Amino acid sequence: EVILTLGSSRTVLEFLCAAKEKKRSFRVFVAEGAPRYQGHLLAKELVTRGLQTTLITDSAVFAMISRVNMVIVGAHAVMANGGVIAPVGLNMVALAAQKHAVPFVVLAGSHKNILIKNREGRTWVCAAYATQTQSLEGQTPIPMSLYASDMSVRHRSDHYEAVLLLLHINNSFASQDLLCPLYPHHPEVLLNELRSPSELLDFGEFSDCLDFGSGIGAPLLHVVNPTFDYVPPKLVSLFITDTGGHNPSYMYRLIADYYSADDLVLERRSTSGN
Amino acid sequence: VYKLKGKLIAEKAGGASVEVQNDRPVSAKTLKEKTSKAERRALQEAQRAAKAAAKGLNIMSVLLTYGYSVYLVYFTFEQILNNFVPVDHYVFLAEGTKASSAASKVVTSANTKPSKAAKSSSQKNDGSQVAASEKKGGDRAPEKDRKKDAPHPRMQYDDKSRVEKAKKRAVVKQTEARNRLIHMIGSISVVFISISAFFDQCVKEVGLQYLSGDIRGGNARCVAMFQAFKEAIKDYSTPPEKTLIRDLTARISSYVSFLIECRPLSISMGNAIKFLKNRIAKLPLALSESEAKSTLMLDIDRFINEKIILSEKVIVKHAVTKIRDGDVLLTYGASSVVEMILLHAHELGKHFHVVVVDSRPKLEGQLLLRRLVRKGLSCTYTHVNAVSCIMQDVTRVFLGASSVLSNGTVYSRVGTACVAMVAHAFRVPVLVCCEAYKFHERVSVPSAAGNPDAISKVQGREEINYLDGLVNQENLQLLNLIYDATPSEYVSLIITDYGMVSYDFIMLILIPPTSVPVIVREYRRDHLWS
Repeated sequence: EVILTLGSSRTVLEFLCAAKEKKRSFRVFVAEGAPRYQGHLLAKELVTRGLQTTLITDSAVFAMISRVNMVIVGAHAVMANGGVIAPVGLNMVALAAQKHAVPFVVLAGSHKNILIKNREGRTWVCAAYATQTQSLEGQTPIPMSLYASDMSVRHRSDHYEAVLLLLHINNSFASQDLLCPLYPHHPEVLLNELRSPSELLDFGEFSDCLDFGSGIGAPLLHVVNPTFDYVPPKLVSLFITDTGGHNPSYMYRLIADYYSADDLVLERRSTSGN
Repeated sequence: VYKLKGKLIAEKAGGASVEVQNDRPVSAKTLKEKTSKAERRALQEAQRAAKAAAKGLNIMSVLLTYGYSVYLVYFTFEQILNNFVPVDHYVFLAEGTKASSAASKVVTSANTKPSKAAKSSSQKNDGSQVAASEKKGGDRAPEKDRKKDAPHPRMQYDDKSRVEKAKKRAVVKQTEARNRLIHMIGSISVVFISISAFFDQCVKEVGLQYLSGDIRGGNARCVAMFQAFKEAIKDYSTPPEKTLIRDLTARISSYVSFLIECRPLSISMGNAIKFLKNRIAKLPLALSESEAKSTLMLDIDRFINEKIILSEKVIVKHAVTKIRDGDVLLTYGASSVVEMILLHAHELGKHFHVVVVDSRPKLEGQLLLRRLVRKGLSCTYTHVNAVSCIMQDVTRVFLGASSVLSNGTVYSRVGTACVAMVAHAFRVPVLVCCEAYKFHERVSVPSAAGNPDAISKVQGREEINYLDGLVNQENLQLLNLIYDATPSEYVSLIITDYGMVSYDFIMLILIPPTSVPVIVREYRRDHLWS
């Protein structure tokens, strides 16, 4: 068996090691997952635990996918419609897997569920980021082109801190009011973080190109370095959670189990009240 | 342990090749026997040295045991022009991967020290030994500035069986680590070259440029190869008792095999070589040698002009009609044709935005990015992983190709397939620009892999060194693909040209990918190679 994965995920690592314990024989292709190159870490871990690994570049994914039996990835967050917020590059892998009819399996604990709900003419997006190690307090993961009109922090616990990010995008407002020219149902922009461009370009080499203020007509060089990718539910074959394996279309039930019914629809409250 | 070479002539470049050529016919025969013995002895020593290297000896002793059969290539750079080392050496390393990788490790672990020793010692110009050649990224010394020794025991390379033997023992092993101009971090690149095919100065230079990655891109490589062949043909003289046609063909084949060892041929180069051999074979026997040579050189010129240079102009002229104001164009990697299209469209005054998508390990997009921004285009730069995030804003995708196969499959830099697939998923038209001489009648090509060490090291970010020390483990493999095949359903349009040799005008054809086999079959034999 040949497994493909991209970047690094603790869940995937444990999963593969457990499979090895059960004497399954397989080999793993790890795509390196630039620009953070977490794939290198994962490959190192797997090799030290005795698994056959091959490290490939992300661009080689399409070329290798035909030789792969299954794609197993971890997720950053899972949305109620079954979509996945995953490390950048996984949408590409999912598309390639769909073309070659390779199962795309997502491993996600149920602490990673997100809620999206539509109500009347307004779109409420409520996201619970549950990350075990990061604290999002004080950091507002606002995508660069949108404003958050309301934010509240709820649900602290020992294991994770969740930030509920409320974005009120009212269709009656003109788009220039909110600097949001995009259709709201683009989670890869809404729920994304843009990291430092220095991971992609060396500033020293390109400093002459990055001069914004040097007169009118200076060419602008943008460097885009998103962290996450949105994988739509139709590309995902299977979710594996701590409660077992599920279809993407089933995920909304899990969320209903996880969040209380009161939380399913969020009301806008005045900021002073919080 | 230092053994001096028999006759080494140090010459300056410029006069180098001519003088060598003059010397060669005279000294060739006398040197022939010596060098053949030297050849065998050298190979034996190489094997011994390789075994010694496998035990992890110091680089100095390793290379010194090669004796006078040690050759290295040393490239000069702008920074150290005054430090010219007029030496020309070849190092060859026998044996399989283990020995060579161990040796290369030994080499790369040795730092600037041996190179300095090399500089001082080689300035003495005894023509002996050592050191690593330093390669700095991005800069290529112009040919004139390069001073070269011309030892070149120029064996007449008639004996094919010896070639095979030498090939079995010698392996072209590339271990490149690019040195930074500013910092001079000690990454030394050592170039190991098999001794088998070294004949013409120019061919050798081109091969080394391929190896080092200075020449990239199908068109550039093809042109460089043809220029080198032109020089070779110009300096060629038929040996007695041999016909020009056969001997020249054999010689070209030997050059080609050398170039293959430096870097596997691209499909366009294969087509070009077929063209050349065709022309040689069709030479009328009645022609004198000089006439034949000039005819050939004219043919090569015509080929380069029509099939490459002119065709690029035609493609550009028609591709810019596909660009509208307000477009956001995405391109992947660094394709010469696409770059010309973008620059031309900018000159025409169109307003558009370019997204340059790059990938590891070559990071060619940065070169393209720099050139575009210098000319004033506004660009966005991103990584191949982020294409799905960026693709929503993109209106057109322009891709270059290394070749287009008979069923419409586009064979191009690895990662192109990913970009085309994502574009297809977002319903963005994909336009592939490819010269006609790159078309190929096959339907699939064996994949080529490059240097795997290029993956484990991340250039420019030294903190990413998770894989240090792990590369030797059995469980870990690194795979560095160079090309991949994009299925034809992802490609909307192929923009190409037609160089009709017998017509006065150039015809352009915009074709859907499914018509490629028609073109290949109908026009290939008659027109392209006539």
